[in-house]
Amino acid sequence: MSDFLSKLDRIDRRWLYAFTIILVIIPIVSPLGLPVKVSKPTRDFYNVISSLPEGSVVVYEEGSISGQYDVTRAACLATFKLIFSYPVKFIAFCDSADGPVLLKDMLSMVDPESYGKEYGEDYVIFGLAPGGETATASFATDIRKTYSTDLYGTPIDEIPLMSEINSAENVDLIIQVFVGCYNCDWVVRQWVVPYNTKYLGITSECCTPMIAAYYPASCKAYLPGTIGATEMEILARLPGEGATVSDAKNLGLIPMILFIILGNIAYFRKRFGKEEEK
Amino acid sequence: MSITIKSLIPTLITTIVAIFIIVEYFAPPNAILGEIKGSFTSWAVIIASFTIILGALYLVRFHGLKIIKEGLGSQEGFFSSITLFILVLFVSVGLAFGGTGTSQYNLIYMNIMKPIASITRGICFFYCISAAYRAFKLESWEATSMLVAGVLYSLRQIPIGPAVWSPIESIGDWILAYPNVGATRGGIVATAFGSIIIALRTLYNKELSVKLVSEVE
Repeated sequence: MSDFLSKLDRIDRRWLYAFTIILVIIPIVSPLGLPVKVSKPTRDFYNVISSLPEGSVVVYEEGSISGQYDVTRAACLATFKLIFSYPVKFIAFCDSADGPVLLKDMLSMVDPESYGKEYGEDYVIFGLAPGGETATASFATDIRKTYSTDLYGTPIDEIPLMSEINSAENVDLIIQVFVGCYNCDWVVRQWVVPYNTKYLGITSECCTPMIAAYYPASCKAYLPGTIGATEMEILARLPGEGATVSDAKNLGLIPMILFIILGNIAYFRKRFGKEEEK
Repeated sequence: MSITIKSLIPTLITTIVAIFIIVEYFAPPNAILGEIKGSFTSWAVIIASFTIILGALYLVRFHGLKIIKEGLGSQEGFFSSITLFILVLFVSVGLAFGGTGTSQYNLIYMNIMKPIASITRGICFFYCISAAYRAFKLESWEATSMLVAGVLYSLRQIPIGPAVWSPIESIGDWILAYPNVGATRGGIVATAFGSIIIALRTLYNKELSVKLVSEVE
């Protein structure tokens, strides 16, 4: 036993990696299908969107990056499906360089036309506005000064949807996707405080503690990564990839916790062993 | 370059712009101030766009010099040439087919950039596991509370946690809603105060970091 514990303290990290890979693969090959209970932030997220009056304007700020795309995509897809099933207007813009491509990829998966939405009339996509919080502020203050054309080069004044929309004053709801944990501050400072716009957030699991600080006063609700996506899929009855990713994460996290426990056993054995020697 | 151009003019521009932005933010709605703020923020977006071009030029310069110095046969030169090739490929496809909104750009992006980024992210997960094994030791009360809260919250975030032990759900939610929110809000307020102090020092041309940048350049 003592020999095993000393070996444990010097375990090769490749064994940890191999063990983790095996545990991540298991639920992908054979899904566990464990029950998921819908949390309050997700329920609020659904309620805010489903209670939007007809003709409401929803702005979507895409701030994800390709490295985090797999984490945020399921939640975004569930949100898009929900929004397009209601008679609301949808305007998307990007604050990350990867945003336009990721946004186009997701919209091609959702296919707004299948929900009876027409580009330019019901939804529009704008490209990248660099500058972080300044871009968020610029879009809130004056859309026409931020963008002269949409992502496809159509002048903004030729887009019917934009004819009566030019600032946060004409917007009913902003949904921000962010993976830099402090980026939720941008919308709170530039949209919620000056214009009192309703704000919903979509983020990764690791940034959830940050947006939770603004919930429910400044941020009306949020989807915390893939578990949030899974909950949304269940609540809105929109089957998607969230459940699959959450399933894979189930066993993926187990080795981390297991090795923390084993690491501590080895640590205490070493520590108390030294004290006994003294 | 004189101190006027290096330090005084940038500070003057920063101060004038900041005063308008601050006044517009805190004053009651005013069309003229709103118009000025709109112009300033849209200029900032344009300036930020030029920094992307500048970044690309620095990238070409850095890797170009490396290829010249090390040669294409060396390992560093080889990787630098791949970086430059990818840059040229993306810029060419973007320019040739009409920007980043085209299916051609989407195709190369989703098949080159996205897999690389996902793999990098995936590797981080494995490093996290290795780091957690070696670093998360119950050495002090602070480390213990961090470890216990982290493990409980992580277990709440995956379906298997509540499925195995149902109280984990309310424990995880409590950790997120109370200790986390208290600490995070404290952090946000402290950061805001720090930002105000740095902003005031910058406006008065007393901020050392701005001065040091001017001196270095």
